[in-house]
Amino acid sequence: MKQIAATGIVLSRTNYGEADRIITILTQDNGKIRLVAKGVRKIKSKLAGGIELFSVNDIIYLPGKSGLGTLVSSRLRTNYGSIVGHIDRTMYTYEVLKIVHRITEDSPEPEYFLVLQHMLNALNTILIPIDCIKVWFHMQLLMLGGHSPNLFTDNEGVTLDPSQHYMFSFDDMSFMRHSAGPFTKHHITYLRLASSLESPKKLSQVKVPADILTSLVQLTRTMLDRYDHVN
Amino acid sequence: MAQIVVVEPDKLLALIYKQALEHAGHSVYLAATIQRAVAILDLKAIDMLIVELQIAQHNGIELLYELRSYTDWNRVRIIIQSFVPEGRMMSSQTVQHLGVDSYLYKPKTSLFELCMTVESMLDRQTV
Amino acid sequence: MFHNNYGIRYTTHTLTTGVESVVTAHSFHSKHVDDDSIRLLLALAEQMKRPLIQASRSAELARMTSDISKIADIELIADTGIDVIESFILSLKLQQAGDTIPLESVSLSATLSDVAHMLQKLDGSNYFDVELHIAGKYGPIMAHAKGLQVALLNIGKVLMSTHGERYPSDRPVIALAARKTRRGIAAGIFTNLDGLDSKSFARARNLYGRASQPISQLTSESGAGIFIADSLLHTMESNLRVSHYKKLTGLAATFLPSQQLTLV
Repeated sequence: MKQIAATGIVLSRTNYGEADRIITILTQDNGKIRLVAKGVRKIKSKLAGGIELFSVNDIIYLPGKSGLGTLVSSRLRTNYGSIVGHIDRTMYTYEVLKIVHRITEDSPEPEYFLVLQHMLNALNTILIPIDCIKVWFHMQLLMLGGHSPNLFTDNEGVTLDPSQHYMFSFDDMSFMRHSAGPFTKHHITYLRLASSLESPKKLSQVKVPADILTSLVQLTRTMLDRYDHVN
Repeated sequence: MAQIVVVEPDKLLALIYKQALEHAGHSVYLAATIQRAVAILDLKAIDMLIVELQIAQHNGIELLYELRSYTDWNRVRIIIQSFVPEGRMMSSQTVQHLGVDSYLYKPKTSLFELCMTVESMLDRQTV
Repeated sequence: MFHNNYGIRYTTHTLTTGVESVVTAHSFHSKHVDDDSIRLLLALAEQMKRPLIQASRSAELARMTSDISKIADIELIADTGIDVIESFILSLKLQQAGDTIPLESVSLSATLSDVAHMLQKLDGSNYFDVELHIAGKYGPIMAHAKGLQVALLNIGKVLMSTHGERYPSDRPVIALAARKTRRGIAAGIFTNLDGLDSKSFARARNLYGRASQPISQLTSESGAGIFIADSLLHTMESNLRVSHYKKLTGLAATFLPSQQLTLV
């Protein structure tokens, strides 16, 4: 059977029998694949080598029946080693992998790989605020899932006014004019940038007050929870 | 009596915890790194892990995820004893998902409290 | 000296709480206080938790096991903590002195030799190979003698303590070395450990006082000793950088030779 070469990011690893591991990998061109890494004893499988988490790996595998292939070889291409120096980033990276794993249950578009790669890169760049990364991530997932919020007109179809305050309607996925609303032009502009900029790194160049970022993290996470059932 | 692995990069503190827990009647293995902890888990039937999260090159969170990815290690009780305050953990859901039995903030946890926490975990296990 | 273990526990608890207050109170600092100094203080405060907790738990263990020999450990632990605080105070004083810092002609070879002896003394169990490599003869450099010695000692101590967090396959080496370069005399301390490179050190310079593990690939600690050393050397117009010596990696700085004696 023909071997396939691919570039991928490990989403999860579980044990399989005495000495094997099942590795789930999101690849650049071949979607999400599950591979058995045979004979990878626990003592060697730990946190080092070519199939570790928080890295992009070049792999060679044999496709198998019923969706379970066999890993032939793996080489580490990019390791995002700085993430593990920070507990909160480590925790969030595991969460990101879990979310992407769940959200890509059916055949994922290649864009998910790029999003994940940008996420790992940003999380590895310690000076990029984690809330900025979260907002970007949530907006990208919403876009890829076809659930983008309306950032140009309100729930009545009126163009959003920079001088107004808004609340957010999750039913309509759009902003609602309200004098006591917590959202202003700063929030909306940032969300527009988060959906259009290609990476969290670019988004981090836009400086916003921490309280705006915090409220946007909560807002976008709630949008995501409603439509992508990631919890 | 339990078989306990203390994952602690500070050599002096590791020895202190080992002596305190051995004094309480347990068998204690020390690991300064994640890799050593996994190596011990591979070789011994371990009942409990006491984990510092702040470790060079990798951190305790990775160990916990790695641990939970092995079904035969899911029964190992976990106590986090760390310099990292509990508030910095992502969510109680994640703590639950990782199966953390107890979270102790190292600056405020005496040896007595550590030993009592270990005993209460083991009592719960017996029950 | 403390009379009993309860005294030690109470005092270290109070001190640990005080240290935590420093860590959380930084947002109330005066606008006039230098940001780098605040960050260094935060890194120091994080670092100081360790010897205080070590002392407290040692005392508790002594009481638990009725083993009073452990009291001797507490002395050593306290001295370690005091040394870090003293080096921090020195770095602040030299910063405050600014242009009036009392520089003098200092023999780099002699300083490295002294530091090597001090590190060897600290290594009571002969765990390390402490080596001194000084190629050629050097004239004196312009430096603050005490500041230079303290900076180098701090670097050596941090590198030695990181070995305790690993399981090296080779015998650990701490090498103090100096050599002439185009820009002056480069001197530093090197070891056979991975985890230190220019990129991570540059990142750590931004992260100390902000992250609890600014050099996470090297050590689980705040590494305050390294940043205090950096601050001390900065007052002497020298900067720490990651450097290599033979197959070892470490931290070094370049010093300009003193012109005073050459004029004479």
